[in-house]
Amino acid sequence: MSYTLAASFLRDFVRPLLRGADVAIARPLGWQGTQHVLQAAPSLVEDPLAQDVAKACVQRLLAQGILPPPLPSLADDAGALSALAALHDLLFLARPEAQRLSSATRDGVLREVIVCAEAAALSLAWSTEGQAEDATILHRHALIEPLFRLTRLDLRRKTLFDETVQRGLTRKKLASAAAANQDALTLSVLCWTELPGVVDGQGAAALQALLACSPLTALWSPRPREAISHEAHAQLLAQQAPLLLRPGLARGLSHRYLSLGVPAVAAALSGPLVVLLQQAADDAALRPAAIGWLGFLSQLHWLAYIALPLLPPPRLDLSEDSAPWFALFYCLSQLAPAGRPAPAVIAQADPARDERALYERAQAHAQRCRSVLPAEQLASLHRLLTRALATSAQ
Amino acid sequence: MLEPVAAGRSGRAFVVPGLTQDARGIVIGHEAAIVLHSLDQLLSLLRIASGETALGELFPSLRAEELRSSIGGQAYAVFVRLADSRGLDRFARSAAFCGGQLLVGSGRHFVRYRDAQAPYGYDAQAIHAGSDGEYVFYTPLATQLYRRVAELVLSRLICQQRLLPAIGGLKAALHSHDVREPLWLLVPSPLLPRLLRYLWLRQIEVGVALPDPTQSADARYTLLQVPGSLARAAGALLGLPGLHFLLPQSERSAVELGHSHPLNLQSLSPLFSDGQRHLFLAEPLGLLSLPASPFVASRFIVQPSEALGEPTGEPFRNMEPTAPGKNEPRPLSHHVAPDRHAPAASSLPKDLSQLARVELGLVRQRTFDCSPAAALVPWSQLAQLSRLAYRLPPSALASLRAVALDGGLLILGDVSHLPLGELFYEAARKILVPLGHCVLPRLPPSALRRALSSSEDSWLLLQPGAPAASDHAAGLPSLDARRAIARIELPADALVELSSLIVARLHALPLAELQALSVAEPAPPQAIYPSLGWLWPLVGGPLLSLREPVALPAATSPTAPATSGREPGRGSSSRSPLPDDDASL
Repeated sequence: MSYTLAASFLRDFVRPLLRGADVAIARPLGWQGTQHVLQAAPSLVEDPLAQDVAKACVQRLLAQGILPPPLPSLADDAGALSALAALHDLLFLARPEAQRLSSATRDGVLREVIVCAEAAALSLAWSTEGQAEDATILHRHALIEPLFRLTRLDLRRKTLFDETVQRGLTRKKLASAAAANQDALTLSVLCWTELPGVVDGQGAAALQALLACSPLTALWSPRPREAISHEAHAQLLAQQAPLLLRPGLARGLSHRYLSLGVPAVAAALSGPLVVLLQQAADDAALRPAAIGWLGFLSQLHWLAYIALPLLPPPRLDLSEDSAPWFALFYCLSQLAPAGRPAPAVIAQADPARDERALYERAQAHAQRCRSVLPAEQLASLHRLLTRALATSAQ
Repeated sequence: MLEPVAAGRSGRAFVVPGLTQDARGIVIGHEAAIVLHSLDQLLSLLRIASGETALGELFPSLRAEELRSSIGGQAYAVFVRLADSRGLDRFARSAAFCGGQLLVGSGRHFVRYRDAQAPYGYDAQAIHAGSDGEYVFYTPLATQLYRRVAELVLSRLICQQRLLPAIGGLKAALHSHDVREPLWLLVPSPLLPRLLRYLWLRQIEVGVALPDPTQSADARYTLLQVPGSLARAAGALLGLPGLHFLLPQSERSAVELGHSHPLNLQSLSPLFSDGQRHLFLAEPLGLLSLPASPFVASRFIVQPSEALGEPTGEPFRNMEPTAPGKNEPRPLSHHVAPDRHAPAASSLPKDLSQLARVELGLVRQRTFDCSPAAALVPWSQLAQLSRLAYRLPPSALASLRAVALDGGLLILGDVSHLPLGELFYEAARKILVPLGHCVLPRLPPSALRRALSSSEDSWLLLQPGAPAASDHAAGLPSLDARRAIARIELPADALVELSSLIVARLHALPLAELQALSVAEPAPPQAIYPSLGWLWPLVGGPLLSLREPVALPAATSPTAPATSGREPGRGSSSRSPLPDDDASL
């Protein structure tokens, strides 16, 4: 039975999630169902279905510009299956049928989602090397990241007295239903945006626990303030800061943020980063994480605005949310010693290798960043940064 | 008759003309004659004299004549130009051993050389004044007149001798052969191409005595000069019919291995004419004479490149990275190597019917033990490559070299990180062969390199080409899996850093084309809500096992709490949590 359950789970949920097909959100697996899937995982390794899933994982990573090392199998990374089961059940809670459950039952389902997710996260944290290998992190990322691309097609149509919304239609059914009712409206919904609100707003914690299973995914798509609070986001940044110290993963993340656009990333991360700095100024344990993120911020500035030989330099595309991001770079440039050479990675990426020109461009960019905030706010930010860095130097 | 000559004879001329005394006081003449009474004695004399290495230099002046005495007796005389008493002493001993006698003199008159009775030699008491007889031999007993019957050709005499089989035959001779001494191999002409290929594939450098097409010669056989080490590993050659191993005795003579000639041919080699090689074979072949054409190295004879596929594409045009600003990058293409055998080939005879052709080809075969050394990434995957290259560590990226070809970007170095393109391994030094293919016939790396590449520094890229032309010509399906080789030769200075090449290529592409090159994201997954049934959640509702908040489970194998609010019969095992495929809303 376990084998059948695990195979149907891979066939109907995991593989379509990776391949971009129809992902069936059905009855929740729960803790026991997850255990059945985990028991069947070793016997599934040789199954063509599991091999197809493994192949899809590699293809997903390659499509994202990540060159993966040999990835673990689903049997080796049992936490990945737990995370996927938790994801399935969390997505189930967004179904209208979940509202027919009693409040206690919904809470129970959500609790089991969190337990499964935490079990997966703990298996990552308690790996033998003390820290999870890049391959495991990338494997989790390939499996969980499609959540942020998962969409749902709904059909809203009028009835005799009211209007009704049919959710989760297949494209074929949607086409036939839309043809039958000319007034019907098709809605495309990003599924993950509904998750924080499930079970009376308790879904945010479950989503947080789920993203803890895949640290790279947690950083891969920065969520706006509407989806996650600055404090929670700052906590996430602090938790995942060690990821920035791994060259392979940090390069992939840099590439991702550059492709998203630094202004968009800045709008999502500026607030949490300032909160993290405030926490780091008071809590010495958070300072290494803050320093890591500041270095990453500087790296992105160098890549996006300084190292690329574009004339004229790209616009900053400022917004209220993203301004602290740019102001922080100006503050950093003031704190850094004058004439400091460019990071090694920048010097190697620049074909000209003209460090003097790079330095001049960096100075010009810093002056542009100076004007994004009023002087008072800039001074306040400078003091905050000084406190965090100066304290860390002690 | 004769009178002994005294030691310090001076002031008195010799009666016989041409006689003188050397520094030791011994009577010598301009010429010496050895008179023998039978042909066997003559051959014995040649055998003994040829064994004396000191006499070898005299053989060019050696001539033999058949004589007839005035009373009808038959005799043979061997004349040699020798005016040294020490050499004459050796000849005298040889002549005495054979039953002949040595005389010295010149022209027509010859007087007995010294012996025990006359240590300083003899002189005639009176010279024979008659005109009968071409030769007058003065001996202690009589003065003999001889008439010349015919001149004997010594080389013909030598060639008429039958070989003597050696103990152990050919195998023993091969076993005891000095590997430093080369051997000759007499090959029937039909076997020559196959034999040349066989030896060439084993890197045995041989010389081939190609016959001069302008001269009519026996075309049944061709002579090869092979290294002596072949005697230790003759292998399959021993069983070939018509094949003879020969031990060279001189530049122009050789004796079949496992036999010996009665005469020492090394000393007698000056007797043979310059334009022929005399091969002494065992019966029934006997003597075989071939033109003494020079040996040509087999590397000029075997033509491995003859079977190569023609390079497809334009000649090599540009080795520099594409300059920015141009829409179409200038790819590197196939380089046609100059014919390195041109000087040697021009010296070969025009009739090349005997030349051997070794057809090299690529065949699909497992190459588990070969590590990839290069990758040919098609241009369509350039954007993906550039993104992957961005992920590589700087040290790994700096070690990669690349060259732009028509088919894509050839990357040399440790390409095990790149899951793109077609992988190549290094079959020989700087010769790249696709993984999963190997070159047939199998050649040692050095031989493959020498056979295919024209220069030491250039890289050679081999790719499978069209099937064998013979199959096409016959109109039959190919039974040979071998494919012709399409080769691309790349000068060493054409390789540049991969990063600079990618940047140059990307700059050269227009924006629209660059966007087209980028990998398309797959369609986003779509969540669907299959039907859960009308009675859900009354039937098939969530099966909760965690009734109360529990502590965090173990890391690797979280265990479910034992307490469950459900009875055993209602476990999730009784119901599939996933819907049927045809479930509908």
